[in-house]
Amino acid sequence: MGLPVEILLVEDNEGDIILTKKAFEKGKIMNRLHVVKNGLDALDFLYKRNGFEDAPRPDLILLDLNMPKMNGQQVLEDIKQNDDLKMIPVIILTTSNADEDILKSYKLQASSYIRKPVDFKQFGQVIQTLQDYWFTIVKFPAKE
Amino acid sequence: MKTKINQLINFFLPEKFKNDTGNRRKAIIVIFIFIFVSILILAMWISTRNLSSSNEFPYGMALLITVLSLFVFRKKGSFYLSGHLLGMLVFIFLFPVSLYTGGLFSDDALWLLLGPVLAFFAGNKWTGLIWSSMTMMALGYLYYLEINATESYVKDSLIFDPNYYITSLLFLFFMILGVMFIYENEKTKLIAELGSKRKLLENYNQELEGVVKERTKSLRDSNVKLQRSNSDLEQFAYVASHDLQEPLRMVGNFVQLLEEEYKDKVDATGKSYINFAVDGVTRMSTLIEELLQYSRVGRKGLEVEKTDLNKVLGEKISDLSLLIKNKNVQIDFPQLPTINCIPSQIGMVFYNLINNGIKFNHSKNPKIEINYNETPTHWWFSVKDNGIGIEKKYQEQIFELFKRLHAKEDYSGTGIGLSICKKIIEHHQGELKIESEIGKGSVFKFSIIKEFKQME
Repeated sequence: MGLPVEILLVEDNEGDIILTKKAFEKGKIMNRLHVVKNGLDALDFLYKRNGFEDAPRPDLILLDLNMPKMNGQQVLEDIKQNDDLKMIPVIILTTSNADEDILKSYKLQASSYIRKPVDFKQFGQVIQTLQDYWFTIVKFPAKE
Repeated sequence: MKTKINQLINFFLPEKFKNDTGNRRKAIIVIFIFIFVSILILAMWISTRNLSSSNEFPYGMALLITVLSLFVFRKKGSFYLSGHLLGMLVFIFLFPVSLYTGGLFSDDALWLLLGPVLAFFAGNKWTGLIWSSMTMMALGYLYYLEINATESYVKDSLIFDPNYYITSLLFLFFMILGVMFIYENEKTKLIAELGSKRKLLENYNQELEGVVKERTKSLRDSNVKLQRSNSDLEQFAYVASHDLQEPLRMVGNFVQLLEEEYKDKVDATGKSYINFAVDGVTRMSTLIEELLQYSRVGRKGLEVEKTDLNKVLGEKISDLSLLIKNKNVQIDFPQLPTINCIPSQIGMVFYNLINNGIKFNHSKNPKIEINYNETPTHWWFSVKDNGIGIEKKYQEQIFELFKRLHAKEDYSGTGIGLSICKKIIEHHQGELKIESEIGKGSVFKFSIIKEFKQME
């Protein structure tokens, strides 16, 4: 893994952005975290348009469900309809532990689901596990 | 003269018919008949005494009976009774006469028919029928006497005697006429009554329809209100689970981040403050989470499934495996049935009861026993522990929301767990009970209806 892993974080909460950044900084794997703050920007990023022409293709998308303009669900629906983008694993970040929110995420073919913890240490652990899991065990399609 | 008659009539008119126009007329006719019969008997009595030939008939007695009948009518005001009395009077007066004066073929026998006719008109169809049959029996008796007495005469000429035919036909005619009259009378009365009843019924129906419409409307209104408040509640639950958790997370996470990033500058006291803050936030978050679980019980959206409880229980025990290992807990349960329920909710009940059984337990070898049996309608499950037990006086309270019997320092928890269990079991149309003895342990028993369907 010589190249840094490209991660797209779609999140509108400034605090969560910092926390996620911090958590990934602690990770062992070299990564580049790109942040967009709403669903529309996320799609622009993925389609490389409207100012995101130079955006790399992410290896992993972390998607918050509650966002202004276009929520995570709509973004996910769009991604899963695109033959190219649907190969990118999407992990839903959510505050709620409600059964229906989890179910909804999986119905939309999210690869995984992470509940944002109250405890930062726990959050760090979660991100760590995520990195271990997705970047060591799961093999992604080779990049061109 | 007319006023005198009116006075007489009014004197005999029963009290209850004075303001009842329909019955008043009939009562006047009855009184007239009685007076007429009395005068008739009196006249006959006087005339026969003048003749002084035969004085066998008890005219005095007959007159007494008639006048008494009039007073009886005045007192009782019963047409049924007066009809009977009139029929009886005719029968008493005429039957003995017809016996002596020539039997069946005499005019006196024909007058016997007057009894049923009077009974029909003054009384009702039942008195008429009774006196018709009495008369017919009497006529049959007369006929029998006739046959015996004039056997030879009958042999020769009965067939050609016109008297016989006229009497019989007349008798038949009166009978049929009477019955037809009564039948028609009753029919029109019945139809009229039926008509008025139907009208009444229609009125009631209309009234009822109005009431039903009104109720339906108010029901629909309250249903709309209920739906609105339900969706408000769901909105609230959503806000609570997302928007209340959000700031909590920020506080918790950033306090910890502060600790980590400024390690060198925070001393032990500062660290303990940070721990308090994180602990508080974590507890608040759990509280919100559990309150939400509580509010979600009974809501639509969760499917009722045929559930293998062995699987559900297995999952919950594995969730608790760390605790079980640390406290050296032994959990025993038999092969459990497959039942209709909401698996996540029943799983939560098992989880909470087992967790409590371990948490409130000082035994060196904590033991949890799970068992079940069934009644025709319900499944019954029990979760037994050898923990600290609960005093009798607190056994009802423990199911109340936020009810805690112990200090937070001794036993952690929000005080919602058992409330959630109770609500879940009630949603499954069952019961949650506790039997417990202090120091010996507790048995929680709960039931689930066998034919469980999600309520609409």
